[in-house]
Amino acid sequence: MANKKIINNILFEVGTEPLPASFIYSAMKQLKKNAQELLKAHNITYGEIETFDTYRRLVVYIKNVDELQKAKEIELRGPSKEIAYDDNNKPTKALLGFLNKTGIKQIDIQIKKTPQGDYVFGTKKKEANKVSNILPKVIEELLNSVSCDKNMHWNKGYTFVRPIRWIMVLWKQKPVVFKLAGLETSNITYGHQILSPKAHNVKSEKDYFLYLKRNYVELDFLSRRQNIEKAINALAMKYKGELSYDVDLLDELTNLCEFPGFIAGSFHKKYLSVPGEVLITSMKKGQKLFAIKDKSNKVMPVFLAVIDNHVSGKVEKNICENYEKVLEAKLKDSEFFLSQDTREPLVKKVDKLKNIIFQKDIGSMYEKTERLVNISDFIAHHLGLNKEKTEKVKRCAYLSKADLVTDMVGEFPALQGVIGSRYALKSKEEPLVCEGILEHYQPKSQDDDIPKSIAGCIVSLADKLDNITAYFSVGLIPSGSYDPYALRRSALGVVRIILNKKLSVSMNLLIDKSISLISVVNQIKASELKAQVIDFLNQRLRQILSQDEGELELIESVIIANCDNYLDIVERIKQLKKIRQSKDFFECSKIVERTSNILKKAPSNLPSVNKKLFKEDLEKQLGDIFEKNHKDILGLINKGKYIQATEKYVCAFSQPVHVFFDKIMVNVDNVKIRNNRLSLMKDINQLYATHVADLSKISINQN
Amino acid sequence: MNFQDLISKLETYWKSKGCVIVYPYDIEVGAGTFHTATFLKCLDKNRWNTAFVQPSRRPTDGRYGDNPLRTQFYYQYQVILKPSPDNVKQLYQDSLEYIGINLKKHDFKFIEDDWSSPTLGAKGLGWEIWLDGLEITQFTYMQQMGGVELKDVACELTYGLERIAMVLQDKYDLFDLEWADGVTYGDLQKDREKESCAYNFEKADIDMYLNLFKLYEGEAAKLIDEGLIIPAYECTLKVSHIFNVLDARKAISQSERPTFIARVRRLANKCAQMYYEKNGK
Repeated sequence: MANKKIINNILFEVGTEPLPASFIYSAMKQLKKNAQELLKAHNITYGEIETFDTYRRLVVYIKNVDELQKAKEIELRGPSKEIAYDDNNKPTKALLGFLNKTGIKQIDIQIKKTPQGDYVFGTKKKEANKVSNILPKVIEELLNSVSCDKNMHWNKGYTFVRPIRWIMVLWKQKPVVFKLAGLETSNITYGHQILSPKAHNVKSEKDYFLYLKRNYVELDFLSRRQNIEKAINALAMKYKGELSYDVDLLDELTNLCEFPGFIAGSFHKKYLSVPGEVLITSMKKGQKLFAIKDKSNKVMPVFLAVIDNHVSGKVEKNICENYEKVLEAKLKDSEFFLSQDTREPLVKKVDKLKNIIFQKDIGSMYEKTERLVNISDFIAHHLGLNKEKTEKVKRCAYLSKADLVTDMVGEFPALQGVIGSRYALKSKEEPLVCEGILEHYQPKSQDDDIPKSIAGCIVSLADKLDNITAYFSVGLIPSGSYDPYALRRSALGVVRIILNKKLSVSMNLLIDKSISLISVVNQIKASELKAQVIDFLNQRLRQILSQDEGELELIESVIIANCDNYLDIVERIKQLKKIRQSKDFFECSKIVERTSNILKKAPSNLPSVNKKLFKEDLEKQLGDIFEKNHKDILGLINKGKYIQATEKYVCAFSQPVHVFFDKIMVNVDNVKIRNNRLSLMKDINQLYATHVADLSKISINQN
Repeated sequence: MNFQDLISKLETYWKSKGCVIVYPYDIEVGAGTFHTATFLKCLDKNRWNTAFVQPSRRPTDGRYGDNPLRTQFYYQYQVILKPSPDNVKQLYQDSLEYIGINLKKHDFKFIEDDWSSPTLGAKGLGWEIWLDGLEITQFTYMQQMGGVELKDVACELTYGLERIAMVLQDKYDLFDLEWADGVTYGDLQKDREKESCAYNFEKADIDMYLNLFKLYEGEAAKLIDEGLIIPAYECTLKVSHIFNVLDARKAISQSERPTFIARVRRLANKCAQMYYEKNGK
């Protein structure tokens, strides 16, 4: 027989002046999570929590709430058994006092063992409060728990992201009245701010939801969003355009309307001469309009406006014309920028970069441009590009930042690179140059594509590496969440481009080059700086490799051995993974481990091996084996045949090294002999550990 | 409704809500916020409700009269309500209805905008108000002025008069607006706009302006030392406008810009601090 439970719900609505669209999604997530935690902390049992959010209200609906808090049992410790009972096993005054004070009955007590001996224990039920009594407190805590980046005051002694103007709290369909955020809570709500501005006394939960629906408020984020999506798709279909749209804009508009309606408008074809990216950005930024592209990805002269109203006929026409007028003015502005900017060829703008600061201690954007040309030239040579291509890459680097002084980028900073590329094309620059300018900021994020063209790749590498070395050189090094110049992203970009494009580059030479171009760096600082930059890049390298390969220890051992060439690192990991479970791998790691263990206490400046100092036959033999084999092994390593190198290494050293360790005392008193033996160990160790992988860093399970 | 009627209507409306009607400041300013009736009065400990027209100059926004929406000279209607009343949003919406905009027949949105003026050391949170995709008002809860946190938050409503008139008169170009019967906005403003653009962008004497910047800056600093707050502030307004002209002439490099702005702000902050010490506590 099931107990029939009375259904109790809490319905809580905070009415505000329009919330920032960007905040609403975060508020929705926070409210749900915080409500769960708070109810748990207050021992309130409930069924389910729903949250709704629009720009004008945050709603929490908690269903099936028990009327009473969960009773809480607290265990209390009384006197020790010895003190609690007298010799006749009768309760003493001490025990009776404990029972009296706590209200625990004598038959309910237990004796439990503790480290201090046996003690009397009893459990007390903490009185369960009615939820209605603690509801004001819980609601207040819930509202206070919502955090946002920027709060404001509005003369009510409370701070929130925007002013709170009403708070509705219903418990079991009835208003709960208390003071919160400078207001008195009630059962009053409001419909849409313009279409239904009057106060409404909510009679029940059902009435609340029905009233809002009938008074132009769609509470559910997903319904609003789907409505907008449908409208965009319908418009795109009508014009046979591409069914794609800006998701950020979609989310934003979903949170700028309680009652989304739609207006399709158009603009004059003559503005299609303005670059497509500018059209899209201008529509999005200026008026939050969706652009429609045709199947060949060209912007069409139409748009979709999402309005917070439903209109038709003359009113619709009027709103549409208003939207079109404003858009025309903005496009006219873009046209003005375009004509201003293209009065002279792009190359003429490079000199003006002298007026734009890159970083105050490092210099101007013009100086950065010079470095980019230099590094790009170096990379192009390094990769063996022919003279003609190299010149184009250099031209691309030279022009890459020129658009920063244009009016168009001044108006639409996010279009840097895009604008430069468009203007380069107008200035009759080579296609490769234009493409490179367009792509050289890529990848802009972890998910962004890497450049397709070689010019884009090289200039992007140069730009990103220069960002890192330049900022590092003046101590602007990311730490924790501090990374204002997005240098981690730059480093990730460097690694991704090299790996994806399979660019065989010596990082040592490249970083040396980059550092040598920064004037503020002196000799001593250079080596310290280089180590920091290498370490910083390696962190991103590990991140990427571990995503693709797993095997953290193996990756680490390979990077520690030698991290000059990322492609080589990948190759070594790949080959070693193949033999990871083999006997050779196991033996090899034993050799490296034993030799590196003995070297832990060795002086850092060991002399090279001197054959004359060999005393025992065994060490002479091992010395000979090294002589005989190390060139062959290095040869295999240089050819990238790491599996064969490992086999040969094991074959040559496994047995003699172990015998050597078993039979020969390395740490003898005679310093010369001792160091000579250590030197031999070092040679053997480094032959593998600094060329292939330092396997002493790896844990091996012997099967 | 012509332009002059629009202004009268707003004046009637806000007068009826208890605002003191004052007049435009007689020194070049970039916005109504620079008027002492905003900048200094927000720091005052007393209640203050005011409304006024403020002609505003923004040299870099000039388009030689070719753009239907952007000009280097235009008219703001400024309302300050301090402390901000609870129904301020409704008051504002009612003002739009009062001048003849039926909001039910438009798309009306509040777009988050955290307003700040780096030259005035002023900060506020609020919105751009969009009517059919056109920004017609800046609605700000002023939190800080001249670097001083405001004890009483003031609401600043800044109406873009030309834009509102364009909606009311259904005009595409602000120069076509009817100012009075038979007189257009263009009749009164177009030549001025064109010539001012030529001056701001091409002819203003850079050396003279750089020199004026220094002279007024020095004068302001001197007056601050002498405790003459309002004259010091008026010199600061001069410095601010001179900076804007230099900016339009592209005479200030990107790297120097923040330094120039900081120099203006330093003066404005000092004036604000002094005024607050005297009248705010």
